[in-house]
Amino acid sequence: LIATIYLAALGKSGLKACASLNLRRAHELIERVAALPGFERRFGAHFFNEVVVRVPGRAADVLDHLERCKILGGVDLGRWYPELRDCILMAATELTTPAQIDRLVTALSHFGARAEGHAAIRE
Amino acid sequence: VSDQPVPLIFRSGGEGRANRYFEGGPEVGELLPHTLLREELPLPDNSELDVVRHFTRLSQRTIAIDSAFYPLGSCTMKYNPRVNEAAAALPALRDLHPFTPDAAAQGALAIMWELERALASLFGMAAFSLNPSAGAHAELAALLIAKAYFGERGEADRRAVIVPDTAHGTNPASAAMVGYKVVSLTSDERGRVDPRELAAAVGPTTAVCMMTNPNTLGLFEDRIVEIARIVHDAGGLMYYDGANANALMGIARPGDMGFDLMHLNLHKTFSIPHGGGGAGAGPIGVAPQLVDFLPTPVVVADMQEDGWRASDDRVFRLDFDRPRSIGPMRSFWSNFAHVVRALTYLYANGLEGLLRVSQLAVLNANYLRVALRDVLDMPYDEPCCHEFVASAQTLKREKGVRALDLAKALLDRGYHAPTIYFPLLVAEALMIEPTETESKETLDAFVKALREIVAVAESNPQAIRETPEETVVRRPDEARAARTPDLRWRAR
Repeated sequence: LIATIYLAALGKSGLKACASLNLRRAHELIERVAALPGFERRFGAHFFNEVVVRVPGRAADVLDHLERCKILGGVDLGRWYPELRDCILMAATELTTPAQIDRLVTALSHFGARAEGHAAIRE
Repeated sequence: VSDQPVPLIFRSGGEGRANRYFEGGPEVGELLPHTLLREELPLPDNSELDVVRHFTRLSQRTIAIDSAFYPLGSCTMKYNPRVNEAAAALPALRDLHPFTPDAAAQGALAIMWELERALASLFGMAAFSLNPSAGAHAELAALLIAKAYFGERGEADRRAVIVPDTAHGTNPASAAMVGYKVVSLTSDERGRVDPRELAAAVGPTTAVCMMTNPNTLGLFEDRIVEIARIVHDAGGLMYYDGANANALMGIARPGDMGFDLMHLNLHKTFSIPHGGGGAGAGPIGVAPQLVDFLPTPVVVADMQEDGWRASDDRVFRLDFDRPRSIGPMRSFWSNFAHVVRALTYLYANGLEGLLRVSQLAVLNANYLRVALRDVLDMPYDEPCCHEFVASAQTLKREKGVRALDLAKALLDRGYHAPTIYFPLLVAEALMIEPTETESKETLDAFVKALREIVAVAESNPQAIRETPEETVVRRPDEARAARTPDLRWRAR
């Protein structure tokens, strides 16, 4: 019932605008994240509003770091796919704001810096 | 409410009526190739006001507990307190994603844990799982637990499920779904399970005896302890169908009666809206020897070592590592909003309040039963629990007016009909459950309406057979509707 009322309220043009905004926010998000050192898209195919991101280290560590920054950063895919332990499924929706994306990128850049720092110490 | 038909929303609205919730939606052509984009989207553009009016009109054509007395037997159509909705709508609870890490969802996990503990205490079980989504789903989960339990004990030959004819209709279906064989028990002249007949039916293949108490006739199975002993002595398990738990809260506990497995319908007993058929919530409770078999995940509370305040000394987590578990019964953990509603209801009432709920539910049912006993047949005319079963057999024989006709006539007078033709062991059955949330005035008005209907049936039976006259739809062809349902709208 809720879904029916939602579709009726959005209508054809509203649903299209909503979907377009989802798509745009997700692309903005991944462009920004993939520009950080050590972060990249794991797969190359077209995507809609969620995308698999390879991170520099264990996904769980990145997500812990984000949680400390009060950000729920996505799904640790290692839970179902052991070969994707360094991958996070990230998504954006029509409710994601550019400011939130900024905050995510800032938090991730701090994780990246620290990871590089650790690597430098080990070398 | 207007008699005019409400046109489909697809027939209203038009270009330029769209709600601009998302301004300036970008062109997506550069982000996705055209092969991945749809060309047609058969949805209408309506203003929000027109959408609100459309659904309000449709809701006004629907009998609901908010608009009318709804004595639908066995369904416990009680008032749904608004405070439940307020709690479930708290943004932190409403917007929570099930994959939120445990550390960031402690409040929600505490709510699940507290409800689980409270239900275990209220119904006398060792532990509950909030995983199953509704009553029949919970029955299936419980029977899977029984199957795993007997399998582990090397007793996989136990495949017989004993189901009295006063049990709920879903019980035999659930038994069949796990590959068990149903053994039906005929109830005695008092409408209850006869321990002698049960003793003859149990044996080395008995797996589970499924019962409802009070049973479908609204009668308390007063020999339940003896019944449980017979089943246990034969090596079987006792299952309690909690559909009728509204009669028992604070009065008696299925665990104390000897039940090993049980379910509750939170959408009945714990005042959650039925939602036109869902979503529901059907937690299952088990005795100590079955706790390890509960569906995953289970919310567990780890004590913090240096905690000192009661509210601060537990850390909650979802436990998936349960090797003897039957596994998950559904995606994610529960219908969480219903868990919030149920706990709100439980705390708003407290134990004393829940006791009063059950006492008033029983009182209201008996009030109606006594007020109607001289106009309807009462095949089991003795004090009932939260519901009773009357019969229109005499009216049918003498005037040709059936239970169905009485139910239709009630619609004209603004009432939802009782459950009819169930349970099957009463001919022309009318199963009436008023619940505790109705006032004496409402019950009196219902009695007056039903007595008037019976009076008309005696003087002019044809008038009752032609009801309802006031409803938007009169008598649909139910057989054809059930056999060839037409439920899907297609564009053009």
